[in-house]
Amino acid sequence: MTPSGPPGHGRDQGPDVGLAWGWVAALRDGSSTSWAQWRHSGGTAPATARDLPGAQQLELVRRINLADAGSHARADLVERVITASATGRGLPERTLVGAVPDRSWGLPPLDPAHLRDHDLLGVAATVVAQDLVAADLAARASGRQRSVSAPGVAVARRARHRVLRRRGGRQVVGDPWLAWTVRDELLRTGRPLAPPGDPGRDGRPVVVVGQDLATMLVGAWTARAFDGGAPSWERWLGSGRGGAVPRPVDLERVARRWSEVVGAERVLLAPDPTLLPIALNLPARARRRLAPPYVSADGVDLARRVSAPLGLLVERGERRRILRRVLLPLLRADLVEHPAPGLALPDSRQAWVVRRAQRMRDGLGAARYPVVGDLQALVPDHGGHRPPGVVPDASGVLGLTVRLLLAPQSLTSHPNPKEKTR
Amino acid sequence: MTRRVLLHVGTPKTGTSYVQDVLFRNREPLAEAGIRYPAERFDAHFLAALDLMNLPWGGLESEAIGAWDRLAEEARSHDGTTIISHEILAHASPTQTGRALESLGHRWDAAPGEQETEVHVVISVRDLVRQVPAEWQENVKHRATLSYGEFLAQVRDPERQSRVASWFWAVQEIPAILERWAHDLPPEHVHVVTVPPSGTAPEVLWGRFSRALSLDGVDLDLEATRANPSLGVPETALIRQINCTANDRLAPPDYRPLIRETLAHRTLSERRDSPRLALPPDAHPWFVDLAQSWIAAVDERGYDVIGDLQELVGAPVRPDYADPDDPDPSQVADAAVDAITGLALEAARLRAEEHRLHEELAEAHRALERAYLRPSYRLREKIVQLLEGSRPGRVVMAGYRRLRGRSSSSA
Repeated sequence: MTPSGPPGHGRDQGPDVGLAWGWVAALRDGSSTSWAQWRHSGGTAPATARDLPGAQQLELVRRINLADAGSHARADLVERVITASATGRGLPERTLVGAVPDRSWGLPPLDPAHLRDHDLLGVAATVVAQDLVAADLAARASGRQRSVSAPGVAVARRARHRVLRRRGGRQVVGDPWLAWTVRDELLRTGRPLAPPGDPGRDGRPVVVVGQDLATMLVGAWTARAFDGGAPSWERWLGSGRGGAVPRPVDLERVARRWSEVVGAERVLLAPDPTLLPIALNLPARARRRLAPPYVSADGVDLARRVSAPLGLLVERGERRRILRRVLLPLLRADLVEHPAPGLALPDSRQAWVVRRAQRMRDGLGAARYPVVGDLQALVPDHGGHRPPGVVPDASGVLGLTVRLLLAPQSLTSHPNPKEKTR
Repeated sequence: MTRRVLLHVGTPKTGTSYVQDVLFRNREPLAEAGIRYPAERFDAHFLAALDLMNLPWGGLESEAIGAWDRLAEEARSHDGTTIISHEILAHASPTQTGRALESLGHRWDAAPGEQETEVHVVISVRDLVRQVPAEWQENVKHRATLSYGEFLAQVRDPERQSRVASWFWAVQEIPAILERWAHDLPPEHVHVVTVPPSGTAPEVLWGRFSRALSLDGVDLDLEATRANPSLGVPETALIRQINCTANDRLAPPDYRPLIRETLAHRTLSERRDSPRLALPPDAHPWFVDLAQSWIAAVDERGYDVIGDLQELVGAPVRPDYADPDDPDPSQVADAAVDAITGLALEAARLRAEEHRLHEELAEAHRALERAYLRPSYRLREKIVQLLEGSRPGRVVMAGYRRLRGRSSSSA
């Protein structure tokens, strides 16, 4: 790098691409100097690529350096960030003010410090997705985890479903995050489980699990984020027609649909998670394991953002598995040292959710399905003790993302995931 | 022979579908002329573009994994001219254009004479007076519900924060696209094809493409089999109203064949007498001024212009401007009658298909019944019943089924 003028002295602020390449070199070396400071006193360097990296990429590198310039993972990570592109149709790559001339067309160049965290997350999510695929490949190579899409596993899974159908599996539907946890636990403990869409053995109830509607909404969006393709929290909340609740947590619709298949008397409502062992005929000690995994609001939003670039690297089924089996444990591990609040409804939705829950309670009550517990459990109790919750915050999500990128788990070698998954 | 790649990077709505159709259908005569259009399927270059640009596209992206590198490999392995064409390549960021050019054999730090591959960038461009309403219409045909007024406001927002504006300028801002794709190419390797004004014979535009893509002298079948027909004001307004009402209930896999294909492309595009979409008079000068600044920016680069840059100014304000946000209700009603008729005919076709499938199923059932009634089947059935009646017989049957390799209990 070539020093350009004595430190502390101002300089002509005309476009200087060499100065920008100097900043890139410094960032590669771990500098956390801002572009504004560098323009004032930094040095120049020759170009190392056809184009200067975008402002988003460079500012993200600076944030990574700020977080942990001494990390072993940093050098490799920085190179990947510099060449990464955000996924989708969002904000285009911005140019650095002072590095290129301001033209009569295009978005004006900017100081990267003025970028929003949201803009940096577009690039960061792409790199996290690459990390997840690399971590998954490494785990599979070491035999720690098997892909559900591997031919042997797929055959075994189909055979298992056939066996379960014959032995009489049970169907568990309703609150998506809770139902996933319950199904996972039933499978883990070797209990027969009906495949999706199958009512299970004659005589066994279809269990519709639920809890208070506010928690169900949080769980349903969480499940959607960990499936892939979720809209933002606010947008998803408003996705029901005419102010209705989003379809996945519309227990009236779920129960009605199953009653048309098996009859209302075989649809068993379980609106109280504390009574789930009774509804599922499990020992009382199973209750703790039937609680869905806790994820912070920022963690859920990160899963949502990562799912888009992940979908460009792996098939849809693999994406869901990687989000739930690779990302989720990483997010939970991060919570040990960085506790963070969970997701909650915005204040503007509190009255709405109570009204909707009361309507759901009354509708289900009128349909006279068998119930384990009290349908009143569907109505959020604002008087009772509830842990404080928040809505996702881009700054928190970015902090979490940088920690994950620098975490020891990311020290796996990083083959190009596209190459490996082709 | 010099290895050469002609990279056609846009822009949308400039006759690109026609060009790609001609190239795809004429791969053999092109190959005989030493020109390769490497595509196993019509949308091969679209998938490659999605892969290059990390673009999700309604699930298609999963088919695109690795498509760009495969395409680039084909181009590098051909000692002659290769043509790559897709209009969404206009969207590529500097990082992505750099990667694309490098994968084709263009080194950013090599002198022109030392390049492994001679890359030419071709861009076809049309005036904003036509492009702006065409982009809104394209949005509407892809389920958008935003009004024309909202679209124009978002496009003219200097911050370009919305997805609509971000996409629009990424694929329409000509000097920026050229800067991203071609700033380090010799200007004579950058070919700007302008789309002539409405009413010009189609052969004029094809002649320009033919020159830009070095197709002059190659005997090609130019009959159009694919087109992206446009809609008038009441027709577009009608589709938008349908989007507002049906989006929540109509899944994307159903929207495409029913609304976009049956309704928009095959039914409403046939109505040619309705008022055409245009720029509103109050917005017209803003876009024309912008076009003038683009013309100056492109002109000073010294690119190979095929056509006339002044064509980018576009037509003057239409005195009979029709606002699609406030369409003539009787015209919309007329379009709706045609729409209902078109959908009814489609429903009739699907009913006939359903009837045919029912017939096919019934015939399969009858064939099965006949098989059951054969003496050999009855004999086998009796043997099975006999064997299943005793323990040794069941063991024999289990062994037989294992040998057959299936667990079915049928004979």
